[in-house]
Amino acid sequence: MGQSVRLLGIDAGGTYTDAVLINPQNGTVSHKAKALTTPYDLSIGIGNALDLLIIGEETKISLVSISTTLATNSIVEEHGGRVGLILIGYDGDLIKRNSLETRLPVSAFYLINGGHDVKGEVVNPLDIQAAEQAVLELYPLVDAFAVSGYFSVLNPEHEIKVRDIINRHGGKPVVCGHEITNQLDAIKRVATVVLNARLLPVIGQLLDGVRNELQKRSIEAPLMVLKGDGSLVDEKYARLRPVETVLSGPAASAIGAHFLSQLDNAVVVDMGGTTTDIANLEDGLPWTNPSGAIIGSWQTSVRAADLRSIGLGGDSRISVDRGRNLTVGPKRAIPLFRLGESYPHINNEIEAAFHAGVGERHIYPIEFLVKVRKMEDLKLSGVELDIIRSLEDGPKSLTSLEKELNTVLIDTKNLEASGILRRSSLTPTDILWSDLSDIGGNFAAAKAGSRLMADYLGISVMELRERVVGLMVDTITTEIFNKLMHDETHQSLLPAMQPWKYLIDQALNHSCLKAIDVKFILNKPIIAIGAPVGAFLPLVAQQLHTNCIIPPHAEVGNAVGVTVALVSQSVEVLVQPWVKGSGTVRYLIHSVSGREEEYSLARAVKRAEALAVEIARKAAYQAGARNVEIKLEQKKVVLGNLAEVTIRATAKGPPKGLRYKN
Amino acid sequence: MSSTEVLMQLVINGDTEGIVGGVQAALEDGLEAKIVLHALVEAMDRVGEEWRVGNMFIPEVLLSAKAMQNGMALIRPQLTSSEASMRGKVVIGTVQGDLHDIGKSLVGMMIEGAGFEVIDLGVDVSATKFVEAVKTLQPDLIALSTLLTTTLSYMLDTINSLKEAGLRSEVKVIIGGAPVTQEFADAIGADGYAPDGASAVLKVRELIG
Repeated sequence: MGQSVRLLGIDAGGTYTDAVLINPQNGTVSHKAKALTTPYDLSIGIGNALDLLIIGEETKISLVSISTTLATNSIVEEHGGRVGLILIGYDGDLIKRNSLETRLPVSAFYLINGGHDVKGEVVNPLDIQAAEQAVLELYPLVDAFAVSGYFSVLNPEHEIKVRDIINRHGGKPVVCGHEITNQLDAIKRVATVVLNARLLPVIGQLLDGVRNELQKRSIEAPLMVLKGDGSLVDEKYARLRPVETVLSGPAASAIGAHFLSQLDNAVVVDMGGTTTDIANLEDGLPWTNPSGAIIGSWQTSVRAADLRSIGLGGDSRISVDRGRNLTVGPKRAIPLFRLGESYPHINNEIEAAFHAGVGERHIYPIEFLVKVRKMEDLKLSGVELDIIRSLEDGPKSLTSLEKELNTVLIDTKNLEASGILRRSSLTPTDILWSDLSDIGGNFAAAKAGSRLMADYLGISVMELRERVVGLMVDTITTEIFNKLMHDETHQSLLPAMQPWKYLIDQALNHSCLKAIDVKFILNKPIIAIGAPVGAFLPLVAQQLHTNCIIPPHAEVGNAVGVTVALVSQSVEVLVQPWVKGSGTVRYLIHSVSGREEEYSLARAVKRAEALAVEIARKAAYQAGARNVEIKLEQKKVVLGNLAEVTIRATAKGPPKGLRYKN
Repeated sequence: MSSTEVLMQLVINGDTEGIVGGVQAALEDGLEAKIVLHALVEAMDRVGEEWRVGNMFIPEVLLSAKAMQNGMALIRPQLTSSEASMRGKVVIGTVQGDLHDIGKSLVGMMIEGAGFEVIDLGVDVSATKFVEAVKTLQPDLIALSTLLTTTLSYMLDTINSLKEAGLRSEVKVIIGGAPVTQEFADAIGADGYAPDGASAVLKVRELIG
């Protein structure tokens, strides 16, 4: 008997890591497995999922593709490498106005003279000396460099010169603005390039780990990574442009939902441990926002499936404020049942807190801190060092930490932001534990935590459960509505003014109005993807008067999407007129490879098309495609006798390892 | 005639000197600056309407606008800053390479007459200057004018420069001038287009009013 060829798809989400084997002949899911994600080192969870996946000796894996929420989570949770930023020719007022110096997550920030204008002409010559000095000072302090020049997408020469200076110092990675995007907007661009640089070590570690796990299991196949726009790229490419992998998990779920449900139009809701992502599926593809993805608090220029990502999932932190109002998310926490699995002693502490009676205590019943990562050469305060020392031999509750350190206000913001500590608290998964099958863990901890929280609020455990589910369902329903409203009108429903809030509440069946009835009616179905969806999405669909479809294999929908995606690379080349002094007109061609000049529009467009095709084709092959098809699009703006033309080339094809015609 | 009607008539008649005495007298009579402002604005609305239907001609409109400005100069010190910036702040200018002043100034005056604060950057205004103005003056809207087909590309340059500065979403952009069409406005990503002064006022009101 011959070998059976299979495609392996892996999705490492915030909570679970899923793996599937798909038969390329008929597109059926032949095996699937689910393991816990191991956030401190995703490759361990990936290895565990691979072990659960029965891969027979006669099975030949021809392609491995993965998607992870790693990039997105790292940005949202503010983790990552140390970045040195060099800005070229940015206007000081704009830096101040956008608070770049304080907001950008960089270790150091240098502004040097240089930059171009709207035609790609030099405004100020590049201050080479300042660049050399900046690089010299930054080099020992950072893991990676980000370089962004004003109007660099119209002329990359200054960015390239600075990149060369950095490369002469050694092998630390450098990424420039023009390499990441060809869109104007220096503010978006610098955010994107900084986030990319910050992600380099994070993605590198992941891919090394995955390769290692594959090798251990004798899987020798090309490794591909899913991007946020739903296309695949080769491992090597992903190591340089990790920011493009943001929102890839949700893109995978949209593609997977389409593949599994065979529905072209729907709202796809993917609920994971950390976030719930809402995508608007139109004609089989997730809707992409041309102005770039928003990740955390950042408007970037990354082209990605436009998803509304809510900080709400199975592992959301459930907290109570001083007025004893319950909130779920947006921060993530290690669920108690999960912490209790490795450290059963926490049960005793939760029990003790319950018996002591939380009474009038103004702080939140119980949360634990866990040391999850070694500290690198970060500057820490004395108190921070004390906290770390105290957590050396296992997690401790905030209460006992306060006692031990003899202080009442422990500030662990820095330690949590840098990923050294993580918080563990009651989460929706703890509360729903008994509904979820085979998730393992320490049920006693989940139960004790729920009981403590219910007691603190003066309600029953059942009521607590209803309230938590209700809060989450209301949020998801409103966000679905808000997203669809925004896609069509660019207007947000939220935050709503008080009278509108009443109407929304009424639509959510909270009956606060007597004489008015309001209904939100969604005119397409909801496809629900992800592990805990069963407890929430049918209720959401009910509120929106539509159907909820949970397709077969929905619990591994992302992994399916990853496996069936294609390689696709798009580039834009801009042609614009340039009126020189005495009315002489030239045409400028701006591409990632630099600025060129032609005498006539026709010649310029011809050259631009050739460049676009060449760059897109090369990018697609570099990204791991085979047999690409090229699509050329042209957008022309007539300016009197002149014209501006944008050429867009998209090269699309199946990945190399895929041995069948799609 | 009430004193506000007198003021309105002075503006409509384009009496650039008479208005000074008129406003002074009105203020001495104890009329609030805010009331005077409303009278001036209402008069200009009527001028705009008369011009649109063909009862007034451009030189007359310009005189009315000048009268309005003279009146404004007297009451401005007594207005609070929010009253002075009125309905919103507009920056206007003729783009780089074009020295045509009259049409742009007329539109500027009419927008001002409708109760907006208008800052006129003049003619031959480069993309960089427009960006600088948006940054420092923080207008709600900028209005770009050109009368030449050869300088249309500078309108696009200005919009692209605003994009690069990350300011495009903070300000509305309208364009006008003989060679400009709605199609062109859409193509370069402007928020609006107006074929004449009166419609420019309506467009400004629609976008930021």
